[in-house]
Order: sequence, then structure tokens, then C-alpha cells
Amino acid sequence: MTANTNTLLEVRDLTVYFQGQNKHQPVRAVDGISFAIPEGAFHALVGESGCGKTTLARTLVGLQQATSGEVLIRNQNINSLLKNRKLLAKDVQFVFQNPLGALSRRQTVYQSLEEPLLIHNVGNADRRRQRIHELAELVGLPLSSLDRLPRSLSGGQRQRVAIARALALEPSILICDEPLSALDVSIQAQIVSLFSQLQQKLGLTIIMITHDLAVVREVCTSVSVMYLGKVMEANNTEPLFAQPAHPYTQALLSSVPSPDPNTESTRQRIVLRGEPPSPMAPPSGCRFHTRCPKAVPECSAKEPVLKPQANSGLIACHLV
Amino acid sequence: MSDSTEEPLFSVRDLVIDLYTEQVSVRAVDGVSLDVYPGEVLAVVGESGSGKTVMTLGPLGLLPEGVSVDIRGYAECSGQSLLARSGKELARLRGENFGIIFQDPISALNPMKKVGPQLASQAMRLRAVSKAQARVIALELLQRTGIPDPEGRYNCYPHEMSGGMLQRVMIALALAGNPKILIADEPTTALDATVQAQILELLQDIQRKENIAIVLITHDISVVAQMADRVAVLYAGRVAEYGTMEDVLTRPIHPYTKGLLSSVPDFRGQRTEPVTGIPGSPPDQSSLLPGCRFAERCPAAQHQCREKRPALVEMADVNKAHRVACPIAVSEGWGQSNDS
Repeated sequence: MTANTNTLLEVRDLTVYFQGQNKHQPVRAVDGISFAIPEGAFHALVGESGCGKTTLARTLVGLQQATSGEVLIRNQNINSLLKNRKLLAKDVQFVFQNPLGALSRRQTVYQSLEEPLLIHNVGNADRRRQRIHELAELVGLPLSSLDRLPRSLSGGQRQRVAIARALALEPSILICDEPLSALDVSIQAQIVSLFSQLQQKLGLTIIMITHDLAVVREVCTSVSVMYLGKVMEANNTEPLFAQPAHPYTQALLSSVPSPDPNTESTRQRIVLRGEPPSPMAPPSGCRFHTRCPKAVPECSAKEPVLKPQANSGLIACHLV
Repeated sequence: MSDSTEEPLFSVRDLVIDLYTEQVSVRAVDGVSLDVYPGEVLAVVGESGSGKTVMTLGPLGLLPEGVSVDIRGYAECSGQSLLARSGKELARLRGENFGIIFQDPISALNPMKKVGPQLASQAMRLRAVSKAQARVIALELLQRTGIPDPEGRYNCYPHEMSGGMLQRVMIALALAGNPKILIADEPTTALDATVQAQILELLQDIQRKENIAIVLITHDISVVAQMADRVAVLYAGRVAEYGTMEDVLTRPIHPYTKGLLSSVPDFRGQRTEPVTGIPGSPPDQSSLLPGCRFAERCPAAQHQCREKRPALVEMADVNKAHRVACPIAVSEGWGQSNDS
């Protein structure tokens, strides 16, 4: 996570609040997040439901307005880029969790893939056909599926269509919100390896929101661990998994069982008490102190800042 | 555990379940035989459409409304047949023997009724106790399932509780009739990692302390590795492999089991070869071809696989409890197992 000269996407002190029933208590979905993603990274945003990871992702592509702070793409503020949405769409694309909801039910795969090309006036009919065939090949869709409707495709094939469509305009940044969680295990693995091939082949920068830590270790180069709207720890994948430093990261990693019975029988579990508190009234000081097995009085009094560590990571914890 | 001297609590033999709607008929379960022994955890593993839920809940008469069901074969619990029973008889047998934990507690609980009274009325129905006794039992159940402040929570509505708490209430509800078997259908799929760990811990605790058998329906191999004594791997309505958890997960023989295990990444230990998944997708069970259901996706498939249904055979001398439905892998597996 060291500063890189080729920062493609940057977030500075970002907050996103939603007005709920209580005017004085907004839902603080994203509550002061800063990070920089270098070109060519495959970055994971992990955390439990309600930690704000989806809101953050939506803000990165302008689907959600920030309450304060900035999102910068190639050093340009997203609000100015949003004045020309078509131009932004050529650079940044989004893959949603449920492909059946993201694809039009009445459009064939061919029509779904052609739509972005038509909107952006790409080539003539022949050139578009050629591009659609390229895209199908790129994501491993059989050409015979091009005339079919999403309904008649399997879950894995639908997600391939959604990915192909996101890639149609050759974006440099792909933001994926839980792209695997609607899929079966054997199909998930296919899509995981597809993401990793695409990233290498096309030099994409990918930000993937997920709750599946094993997938992160498999394909991502760096990770931010979120809890209640804040980043608790961020690091490159290998050191984060080898030496998780934040007590929350440690608990999160230890809570996932291993598929290998030998590893599983020796797993040291840290079972956290309770569940994440409400983002409407986050705890004082460190947000994690109410569940933290290592908390000391300082933790409830003062909010820790995200600071660089020797192992290349960033950690927000008084005890590290 | 699966001691051969012990009688199984729940058995199905040659179970075939066809589901019909107006448009299609699907063979969801196609000749499955399984046993559940007292106090053990049997994991039923498979992907969507493999028939794991239909196989387990079908004989109990708990399939969704709106589909017609045709069940053949044999299913019994504590020596009594479950099939060809009236709804009332089946409900009684179910209440005496089974507790069921559904994936999504918020849709399994009555949203209009407080959770305590829901538990109490279940206890009254299943244990024939008075209203006052039922209240005591309900509070006990809330305590047993680790709900803090049971008295206070007794009067909560489901929407006032978090996902993890609701799953605890669901487990309390399943325990209300003093079941011998808990059927847990993807009990942690809707939960976050740290909450999943709490719920699995609770289930393990109940199983060990109270010697209740658990049938764990799941697609998550990691949950199987943590919880199960034995595993049945289902593919397209049939058992592909069946054995102890260690045998199936560490010495898988069926090509589908191998493919499934190689699809699951593990973030512990050294990074090994990347996951690949299994090419293709599961077959359409409304139009079935003869032969092995997995043949279309199988890297080891031969001509015979598309002709004849593979029988589930015991692995020769090593471990009779390990059964595999693939003659090709079994003939290779014999060579391996002789070495060990």
C-alpha cells in the first residue's frame, strides 16, 4: 500500500451519510475513508454487511453522491467527470452482484453487448459484430449463446455476459460488487480465474467488493478491511494474510473455517461477541472497541487514525 | 458415530422424488440412500439444484407449495415409515423427531408475533404442556441458544432482532420439541463471517452436549470441514460420494468431489495452484440422458459413462464406509488405497 507514482483512483476523507427517520442521526455508511489505488492493482474491499463497502463502491463510480470528501480519478474530481457521463463510462465500469437484475430480460446477449457500442457510436454494424465476438471469446461465452435471453443462461454465463458488457468500451477501471456471491462454488472458481486472466491480459485496475476472504487471497493484490464505515487495516494481500495486525482483521480471518480438515482441526478461533453496532450511532473512540477482545480504556476514548506500519500496511489501532 | 452396531435414526433408501409444475417435471432426487446415526453430524453437500434440500425435507412433507411431488422409495425415522402418511400423522412424527433450522429466519418466523410466545406455542404443541410451563420452556430455550437477557428478548418482534439473534431464535424453535435430529438447511449462508462462527459454535455445542444428530445441508466445504462426521456429496440428484469427512475431503475419489474441492480457495498455508472450477454447468434435470450425470463435465469421462448409470460401490479393503459412484475412479482408487 505504499504510495505509488501511478495513482489511478484516489479517495480523500470520503463520507457518505444517508438521512434516516431521525434527522439528527444519519446513517454513516462511509465515515471518513482515504486511500489510493495504483494502476494495475487488484484491490479488495472486505468487511461484513453494513460496513459500507457497497456504498463506497457506488460512490467511486458516481452512482452515489458523496456527503463530503473527494473521489479522484487520474487526479480529476469525479463531480467534474460526471458532467460528461459518457466519457466517464468509457473509463470506469461496474459489475453488479446479481447479473439477472443487471441485464435486460428482453434483450438477447448480442443486444446487451451491442448497446454500449451503439450508445458510444463505435464502428459500423460489422465492426460491432466483430467486437461482440471478441468480447464473447474474452470472457469464455460460446457464440451460440449470443442469440439467447438471460433467462435461458446459467448463472455463471449470465455473469460472463455482465462482465463482457462492462468491458465493451475498454475501460481501465472495473468495480465489482460481490460478483461471485450469487454463483455456485464450481462456477465461482471459473469466474475468479476469469477475473485474474482479464486483469493480466487487459492491464485492468479492479476493485472488488467481497466478503469472501479466500477469494481475496486467491486473486487480489491488496486489501482494505472495513468496519462500520471506516478502514481498519489495509495492506498488500500476502502480508495481510500472513500477519494480520488489527484485532478485527485477526478475528475476521480466524472466523472463516478452512476446507482442509487438517488445517481446520488446528485453527485458532477468535469468536467475537455480538454483532456490529448500528452505523447510526457508532461507538465512541475506536468503533470496534465494543467487540474487541484486546480493548483498553483508551480505545473507547480516542479514535485511532490509520497510520503506516513497518510491514507496508496501514492500521487504525492504538495497540499496534 | 457411524458405528455399524448402532441403528440409524433416519434412513432413506432408493429415494426418488419428482417435482412437477404445469410446464415441467424435474427429477430432483434420483435413487438416494443415506443413514443418519444418533449424535452424528451428516453433511449433505451439493450445488444449487443438486437435490440436497428436496432429499432431506421431501420425506418430511416440507416442500414448497405449488409444486406437485411424487416420492418413491423408502424413508423411515426411529423404525416408522415416513412415506404414505396422512398430513396429521406426518406432522406428529416430524414434531417428535425433527427440528428444522431454515436458511432465512426472518421468513421462517411469524413477523406479527413476538418471539417468546412463538417459542412457547411451539413447545405447547409439541410437548403437551400448560401455558405457564411453555413460557418457562421458551425462556430456557432462549437461554440455551445464547440469547442475552432472555426475559427482555421474550417480548421482541422478529424485526427488532439482528440476523444472528434471529438465527438463534430459529435454533431455539427447532429445539422446542426435544428433537433427536436437527435438520439445518444452509444455517449460516445469510450470515456474516464473525456471526457465522458464533452460530456454528452454538450448533456444535448443542450436538456435543445433548447428543442430537444434525443433518447439515450446505454448499460450503469449509463449514463441512469444521462440523461434519460424515459427508454425502450430491450431484444432480444422486450421491456421487459418501464417507467420513476425512475420507471425502482429504482422499476424494469421485471426479466431481475432486473438482468441487479444487474449486474452493483456502487462504491458509502456502499459496498453491490457482482454483480452476469445473467447466460447464450442472445438467438440466428435466430432460435426462442415460449414464452418469457428471459425464458432460468430467475430465475422466469415457464412452461407458454416457451409457450406464454408475452404482455407488464401497471402496474395497480400506474403509467400507467410503462409497463412490464412479467405476473409473474406483478402479484407479483401488490401486492407491492398497499402498496405504
